Amino acid sequence: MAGFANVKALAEAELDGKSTYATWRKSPSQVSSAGVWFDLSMSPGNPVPQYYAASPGAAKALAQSTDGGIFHGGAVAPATKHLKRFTALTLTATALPMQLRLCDYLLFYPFIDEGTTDEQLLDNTVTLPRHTDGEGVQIMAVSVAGRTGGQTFRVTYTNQDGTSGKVSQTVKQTTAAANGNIVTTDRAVVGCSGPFIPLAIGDTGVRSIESVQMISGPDVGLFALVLVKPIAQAMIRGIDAPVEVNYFTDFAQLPVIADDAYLNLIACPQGTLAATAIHGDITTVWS
Amino acid sequence: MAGFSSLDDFINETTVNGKFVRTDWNKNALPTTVQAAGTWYDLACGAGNPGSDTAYGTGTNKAFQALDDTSTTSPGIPHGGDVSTDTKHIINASAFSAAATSMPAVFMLVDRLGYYPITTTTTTGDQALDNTTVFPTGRHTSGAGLRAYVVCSSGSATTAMGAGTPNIRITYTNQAGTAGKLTPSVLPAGTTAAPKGSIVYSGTGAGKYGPFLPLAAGDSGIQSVQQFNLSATYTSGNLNLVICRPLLTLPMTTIGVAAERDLLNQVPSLPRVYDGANLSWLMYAGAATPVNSAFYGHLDFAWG
Repeated sequence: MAGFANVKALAEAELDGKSTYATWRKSPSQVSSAGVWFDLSMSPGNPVPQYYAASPGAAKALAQSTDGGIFHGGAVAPATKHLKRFTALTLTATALPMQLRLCDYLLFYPFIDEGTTDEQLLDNTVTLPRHTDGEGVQIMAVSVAGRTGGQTFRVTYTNQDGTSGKVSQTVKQTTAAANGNIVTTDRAVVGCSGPFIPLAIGDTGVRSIESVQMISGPDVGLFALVLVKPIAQAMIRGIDAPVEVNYFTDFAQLPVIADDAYLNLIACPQGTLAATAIHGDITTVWS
Repeated sequence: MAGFSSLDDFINETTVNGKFVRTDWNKNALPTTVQAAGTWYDLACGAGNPGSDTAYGTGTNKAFQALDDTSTTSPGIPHGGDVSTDTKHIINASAFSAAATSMPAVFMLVDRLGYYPITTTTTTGDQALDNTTVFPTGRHTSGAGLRAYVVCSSGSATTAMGAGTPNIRITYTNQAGTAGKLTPSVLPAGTTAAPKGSIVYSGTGAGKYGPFLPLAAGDSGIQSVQQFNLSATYTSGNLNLVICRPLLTLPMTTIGVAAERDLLNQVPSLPRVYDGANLSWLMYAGAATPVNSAFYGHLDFAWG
């Protein structure tokens, strides 16, 4: 039986060494904005950054074995791996308090062109590598080339039940320019939303994106559409203490980390992240 | 029955039977080079109390050298001696520093079982290790939970590694006794001119891990190591492949504020300290940490 039958099993798994501990450090150089979610996977540090560089509009999968991400150890199947503990800290107050979300980055569609209002069909030759039923999988739009902002767009996708042709809510783009910004977020722009594009009512996940279309008008930027599975969340409140989350004792849950998951973080700063070194660690345990 | 059967038993053992010891420690950041942000270091190489390690790099090249709490050249933090047939556990821990720019930092307490000194750092390809001396008996005997790291150090010398960025790989026998297991790719990459005391493949960039060498998929420990492999010459310097058991971590953000950990109220709780354990700190430097920055703290132990 995969997983933990009881607290004793959880404790014994860690005592038996079925655990991986690794530190991470992200040090963004981009001038991000207050209230605009930011994708730390594009920032320098450890793990090394990735830039959503691939053939435009063609789905490309991400995995620890090929792309890195926050290290969580090797494959453990038929056992299951779980996030036990997460720590984050910084000594730079500018961006605080700051929410963090740890995500498994599954797949992305690179270089979506904002310069046309035509419907842009996406290439789904490559499919979800993990969480293949799409349940809980969300879409985030990450800037890879700046824009004027203020335009709207929507995506057409296949939902968690395999129903194609579902249309997301129409979302508006931020005017903030930094690469790495999640373009649908901005506290100061009416019509922006959270880090994930709101799905059609009743949908709980995404298997693939069929197309994307600028609605209100074209712009000059480029973004990547990224399918992620949110794993966990935390918040750095101040510079005087690390945030330490034990997902078992604090939240009575042990989020699953799929084998070969590409883990990275998105953050919602309250000021620029430029020159802010963020450090942390994760501890996983498996059984 | 060894250990504590209940909180009542714990209180009885520590207060009535006196099975409790507190140890205060002081370790300094490395003595030769400013510690780089994002990099792990072995504070055994720093000055303080216990004193600086002079064992690394000594002993027959590539032959395992065991460490315990009586090692005079690589002393660990005292924990009160042997208590068998009782079992000893850590119940509280703390660490702090008043040194400027010493924060942030993460400390990890480990039980070092020993090390393989490797002076042949210009040799590429597999180098057979000598396991005539085996891992200390009675401490993590199955190998479960044991991890390995590679640190630059050569006795009391302050010599750094030479120019080179070799990939590092070990061939080991895992916790189940399966031989021939390999460090998986992407292989850890050594840092050029890595200073004394640094874990040479830690840091930021491609091929950087911290603090331990990754194990093969599904492996949870190490019984022994058969081969050490550098993909290219390190030009000069001495490496040490250290085998240890991680016990706890303490993250710190603020100068003058102690990081404190209650190990009783954790899952799992009360990390065990085996008779003979050689306790030492690894340090993740979150900022450029000046030479000889002083860190202090304490450990509480109880047994029953």
